[in-house]
Amino acid sequence: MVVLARKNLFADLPRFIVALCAVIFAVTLLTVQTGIYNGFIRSTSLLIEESTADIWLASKEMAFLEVTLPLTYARLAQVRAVPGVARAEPMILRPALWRGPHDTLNAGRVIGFDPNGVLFAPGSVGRAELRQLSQPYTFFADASQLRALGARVGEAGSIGGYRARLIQLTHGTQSIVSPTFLYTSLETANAYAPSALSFLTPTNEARPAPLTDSDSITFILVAARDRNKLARLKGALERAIPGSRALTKQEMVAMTRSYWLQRTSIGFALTLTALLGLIVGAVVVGQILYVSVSEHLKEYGTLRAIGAADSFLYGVIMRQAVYMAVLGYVPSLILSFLIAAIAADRGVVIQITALTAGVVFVLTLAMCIIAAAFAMQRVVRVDPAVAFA
Amino acid sequence: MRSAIAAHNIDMIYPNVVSPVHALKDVSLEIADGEILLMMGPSGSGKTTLLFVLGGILSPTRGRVVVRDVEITNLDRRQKARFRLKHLSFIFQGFNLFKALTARENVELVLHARGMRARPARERTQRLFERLGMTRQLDRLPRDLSGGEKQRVAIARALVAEPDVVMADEPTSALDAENGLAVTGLLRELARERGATVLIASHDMRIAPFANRIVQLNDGRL
Repeated sequence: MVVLARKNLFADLPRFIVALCAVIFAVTLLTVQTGIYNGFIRSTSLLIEESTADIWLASKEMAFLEVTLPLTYARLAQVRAVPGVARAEPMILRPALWRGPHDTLNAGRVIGFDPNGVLFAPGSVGRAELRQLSQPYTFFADASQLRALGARVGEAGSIGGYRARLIQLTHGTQSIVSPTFLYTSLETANAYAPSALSFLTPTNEARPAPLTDSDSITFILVAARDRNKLARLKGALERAIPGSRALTKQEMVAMTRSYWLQRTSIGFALTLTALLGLIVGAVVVGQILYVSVSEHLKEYGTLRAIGAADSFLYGVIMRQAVYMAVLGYVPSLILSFLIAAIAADRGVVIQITALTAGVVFVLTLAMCIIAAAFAMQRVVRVDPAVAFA
Repeated sequence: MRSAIAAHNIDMIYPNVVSPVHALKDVSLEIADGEILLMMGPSGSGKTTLLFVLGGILSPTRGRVVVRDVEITNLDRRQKARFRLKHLSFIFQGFNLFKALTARENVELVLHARGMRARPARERTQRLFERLGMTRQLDRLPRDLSGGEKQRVAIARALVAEPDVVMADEPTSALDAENGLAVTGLLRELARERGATVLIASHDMRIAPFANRIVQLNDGRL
C-alpha cells in the first residue's frame, strides 16, 4: 500500500510539484498569517512585557496602555509609602512629533523612565548603556525605526523644539501599532511633554529640570514585596491613590491586547486570509489527487476486482495526502522563517512559536486529508468491471 | 468430484436506454474442483459477463452462483469483495499491471491487500519468481517487460496468494502465438501444482488443448 501510494504520487512529477507548490503556498500563508497575528498581539503589549513591575498604577479612566489620563508626580511618594510596595518607579508615555536632521517629520511616542531604575528597560539594553540617557535630550529608538526617523545614531533632530539626539539602538522593542518609541530619561521626557506637539517656541535649555510634585506622569510601576498578595496590594494602592486603577502586569497586557483586537478586527482579517489560503490549497490538492485517481482508474478497478477492502483503497489515497502534507509542510516552515527574518528587519514581528508550528502542521494534515476525501469517494465507487475493459 | 463453482439458471440483463440487453440466458454450469474450463464463443456471446457473474463482480438479474459452497449471489458488495480476496483471482486481457510498480511490487500488492506483512510477502514473491525463472525481471517496471513477461507477472500475481479459483479473461489476446501458448501452459502447470480451478474466457482456439473441458457460449446461451 505504501509503495503504491508513493509511486503513483511521484509517477507524474510535474503534477506532483504543482500540488506541492499549492501546499507550500497554503501552509506558508497560514504560518505567516498566524505569525503576524501572534506578532501583532505580542507587539501591542511589548512595552508592558519589557517591564518587571508586578503592578501598573494608572488613572482610573485608562482605556488601555496608550490612552489614559495623567497622574501627578506627587503620587509616587504616596505609592512608595503603601505597605507591601518594595519599589515604585514613574513612567511617562506621551505623544510627540519628531523632526529629523533632514527636516522629515514623524509621529513618535516619548517613553520616559528612570535609567537608574530596575523596573523598566527597553529590550536587552544593559544598565551601563541605559545610564547614557542621563545625558540631557538624548534618546534610544528601535533599529527598525531608523528609516522613519531619518536619522542615524549620533545624529540629532528635535522634539517639540528641544534638541533630541539618537544615541543608541534597541532591538525588537517597537510595537507595530504605535508611533516610533523614543526612549528617554524622565526629565527629558518631562521637558518634551508640554510642547510635544508644538514647534512654535523653540527652547534651548541646557538641562531639563527635575520633576516636581505637580508634574504629570503616566504610570507608576510597582514591585511588590510579596507576589502572592498582589490582589491585596492592588486594593491598597487604589485606596491610597484616589482616582487610580491598579492592574497586574498580566491584566495590563490583557487589557491592551483586547483593545487592539476589538478595535482593529485584525484577528478576523488574518483568519480570513489564512482560510482562503487553506481553501486554495485544499482545492488544488484535491484536484490533483482526484485526477491521479481518475488516471489510474483501471489500476484501482483491478484492486477492487481482486477484492481489496475499501480501507486498503482509502489507505492508498490517505497516504498520498499525508505525503503531500509532510513534504509541503517542511519547506513551508523554512520559507515562513525566512519571511519572518526579512520582516523583522523592517520592524514587523512575525512570531512563529512551536505551538504555531504544531497547529499549522495539524491544519496542513487536515487540509490534505479533507482534500483527499473526494478522491477517496471516487476510488470506492470504481466498478471492478473497469479492470476488464 | 467436489464442485468448485455452480451456476444455476443465470439470467443477466443490462438495462439500456434503447432496449435492455439480454447478455446471459438461463445459464447453468458446474465446474469441478481443480478443473480447467475453457469458455469459448465469439465476441459479444457473453463470456466476460459470465466471468463477472461467476466471480462476484456482477450480480445476475436472476439465478444463483455458488462458489466453494458459498452462495455469492446472496452476499453484499463488501462481503463479495472479501470473498474474492480470499478465494478468487483474476488474469486480465490487458495484464493490468500497475505502471509505477516493479514486477515484484505488482505481485506483492495482492499479498499486502490480504494483510500479509512486507517480509513474508517479499519472500513468497521471490520464491514464485524463481519458480517462473524470472528473477532477473523482479525489479523491472512493466514498461521494461515484453508482452509475454507481463503476462507471466500477471499469472504470478493471480497465483501468489494461492486462490481456489483463477479466472482469466482473454489471457492470450495481447500475445503472439508462441507467447500465448507458453503462458497458457504455465498457467495450467502452476494451477495444477496449487490445486486451483481455472476458468478461461477466450476465443483463441489454440489454447483448447490446455483445458479439461470446453463450453461454448452463443448469444448468451451455453
